[in-house]
Amino acid sequence: MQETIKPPMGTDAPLIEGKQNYETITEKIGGIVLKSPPKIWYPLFALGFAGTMVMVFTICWLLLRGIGIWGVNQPVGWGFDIINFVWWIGIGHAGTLISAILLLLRQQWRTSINRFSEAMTIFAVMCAGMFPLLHTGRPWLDYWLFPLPNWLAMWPQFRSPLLWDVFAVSTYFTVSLLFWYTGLIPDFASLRDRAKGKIAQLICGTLSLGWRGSAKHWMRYESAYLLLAGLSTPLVLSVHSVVSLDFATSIVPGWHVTVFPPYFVAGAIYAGFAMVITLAVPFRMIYPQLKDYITNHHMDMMAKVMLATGLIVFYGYMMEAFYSFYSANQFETYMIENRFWGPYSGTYWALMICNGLIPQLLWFPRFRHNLFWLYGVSMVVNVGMWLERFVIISVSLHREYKPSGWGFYAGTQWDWSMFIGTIFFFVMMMFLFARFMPMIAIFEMRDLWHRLYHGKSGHNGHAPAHVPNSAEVTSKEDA
Amino acid sequence: MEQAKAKIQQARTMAIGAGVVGLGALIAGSFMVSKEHAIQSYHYGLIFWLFLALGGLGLTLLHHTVKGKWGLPLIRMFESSAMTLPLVALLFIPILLPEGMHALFEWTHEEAKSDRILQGKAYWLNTTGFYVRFVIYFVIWTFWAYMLWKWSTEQDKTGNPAFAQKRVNFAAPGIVVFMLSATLAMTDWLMSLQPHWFSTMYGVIMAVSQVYVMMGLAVWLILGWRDQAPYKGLINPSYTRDWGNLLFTFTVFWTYVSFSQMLIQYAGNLPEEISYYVQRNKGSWNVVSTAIAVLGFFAPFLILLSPRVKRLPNLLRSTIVLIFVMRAVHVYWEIKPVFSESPTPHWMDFAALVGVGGIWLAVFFTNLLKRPLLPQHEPRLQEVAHGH
Repeated sequence: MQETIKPPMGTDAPLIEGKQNYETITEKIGGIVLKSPPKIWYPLFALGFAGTMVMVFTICWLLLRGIGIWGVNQPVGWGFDIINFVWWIGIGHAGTLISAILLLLRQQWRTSINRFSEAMTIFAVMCAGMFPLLHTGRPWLDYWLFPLPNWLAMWPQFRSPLLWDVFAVSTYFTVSLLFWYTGLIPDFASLRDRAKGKIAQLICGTLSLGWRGSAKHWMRYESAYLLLAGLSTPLVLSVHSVVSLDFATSIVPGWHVTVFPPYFVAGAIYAGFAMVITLAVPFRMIYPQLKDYITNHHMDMMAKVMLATGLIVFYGYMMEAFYSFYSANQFETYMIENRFWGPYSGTYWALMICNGLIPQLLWFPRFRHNLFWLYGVSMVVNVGMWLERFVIISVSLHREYKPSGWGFYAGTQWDWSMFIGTIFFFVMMMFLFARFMPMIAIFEMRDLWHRLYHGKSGHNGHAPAHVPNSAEVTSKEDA
Repeated sequence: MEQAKAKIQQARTMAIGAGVVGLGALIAGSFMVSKEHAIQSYHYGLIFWLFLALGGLGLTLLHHTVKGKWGLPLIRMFESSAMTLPLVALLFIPILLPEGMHALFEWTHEEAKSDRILQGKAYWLNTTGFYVRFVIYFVIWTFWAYMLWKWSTEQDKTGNPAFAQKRVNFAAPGIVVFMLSATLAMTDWLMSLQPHWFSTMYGVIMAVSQVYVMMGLAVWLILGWRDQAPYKGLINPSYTRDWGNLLFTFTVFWTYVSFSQMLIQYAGNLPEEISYYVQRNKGSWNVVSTAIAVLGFFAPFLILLSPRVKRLPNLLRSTIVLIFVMRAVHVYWEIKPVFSESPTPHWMDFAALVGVGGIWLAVFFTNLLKRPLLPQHEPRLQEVAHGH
């Protein structure tokens, strides 16, 4: 895993490495789809598939027996199902942030990781959606969640954030999917033109919706893409804010915390970037050609975003603790004491170490530029963010106001098999995506190549001696 | 050389005048009306200008950390504003006197000893702790403001680019320190005005308010001097667009955090918490609350959506006037409902706002005049100025 990183490192590293020209970019990225996959792809996909079968089996058993097979009961009614929902939906946020907000901020380092992380968003939201839908107990009636006019005159409770969640998540999924697909259209057209086989031509041709690359097509494409970016931007804030309100609008100590909305959003982006790194590092090893496009520059920027959002999250932990004491409210104070020293104190302190302490390594360039450490930190954050939701959701519930209502909660084997099953499902979907769709936006990379080197890519496609870094390029454009 | 400096000198003279008149009126009022009333007005004026000073520090830290091009013409203003913090500390003295504390903070009263919740909070809300923390906050803030000021000045003189990296390494952890200290300071000086109430979002709302109002002031000033050297020829639509977008972002973010706090406390409806909003929606205070929503959010939000406003400096300046006024109203809305059933301001509130403001601006302008108005050895700034 440990890679020797050649200088220049971090943000001094170029956004595109190696000897490139328009042709090599299309060839390298498109080739992944059009040629047979590397040998390692098959066992990895098979592994993902096998894990997905565990998930399917769990769901079947759940539908047969009901949610009694889970560990939830009084007083902890929200356990793994909601924890995993929040965990997965948070992971999706990095994709939207990278593709929409960084586009509006004219950040060039988004270009080679946006497609990849958008795919991650969509699969993560799929995983997330399964949990509350199954938690309803009668998933065949889940359409009742929508305000459909019906003969019972029964409406969902509009004042409940749980209903807002239905709207927020379904909007999020729809917009993310549209955004992703819109970006894929020109690339499908490139693949259609390069594909040798009839079937590939037919599929890519259909998916590219008759794209010809005319100036008019590009004009419409650009405005559609910008509009979708504008639509996605508030979603980055709104989805996880609504998720946080599921807890915060109640009066359960530990849930009723005003700082939750921004703190959840930051946590979502934090988890999301950790997951992008978790995926990008192995994918760069499986597909070595990606190393030219996902460079140390990208890794460094992602590490910095992780550090910043991680600090916001840590600020949230400190505020929770400080104001619980400051409030001088016995239930608030007891909530935080229970986290510190109660039966689940292990998870709380593990959370502090995973999300608060270890990511501080990212302050130092040495750790940001070393993929081994960076990967390690991202894994720790993945675990930490899961623990955070466990601490907030279940630990707040397990001791009610009166000791007679106290209980203990742990996931059953079915909770675990469902959770691990979704992870494998996610992995399987990512491998399918890598196999059948261009993982990096080909035309955006060509555009970036043009912007960086002004078409002066040189005679043999050699990079010019002076490689401008992103800051210089931006200022030139604006001047 | 720098024509804008002549303008700044004029402005400083006016500011001194306003400061003397305002504070004079306030002192007169403290004898004529009541000392208690005067100190409450003074606290309001001081907190508002403290917001600008802390906003200056916050923006200095932010600029040095992210190194955005948008901050280059404004950075000397941010630094000058942050360097007014020692002055603000001095201006705090009347509040720290026993009479001031008694007029403002219910938890210093004798009756607090029989209040169960306030007794529970006594380990934090006590006068000694309050003083100790006061010193710590200002020492931290001044230290960060001074070091960044010093390294900028040295770079201006020597042109050594190593100072830029030094500032980054110092400013980034500074943001962490700033957020924590500002949150606790706002807990002491504002939240504890209604000592039963608490909210974990409060520090965030206040920190955003601070950078928001200071950003407004800096952009308003620089656009006013845009025809004077050294700003002449520098301020182009790419800058005004970035500044407009930043103000837009602050508007939205401020609303997002404020609204979230309100929604959560409204939905929870717990006695200690909801009292804050009940107080601010009783009687005519409701009008102020509505005005903050309409003129403090919807108006600047809709105006700043337009690209035209962000291109035309005079339109942007008028928008900032609205933002600035609404920021003052917001601080008023945070403080005054504690002391008064009616939102109608007393003339001493204005006297305090103008008086403290005059002194604050005079020192701010003095700081600004001490050095060249733009960073001297900044390649990215010269690139723009020479139209590359």
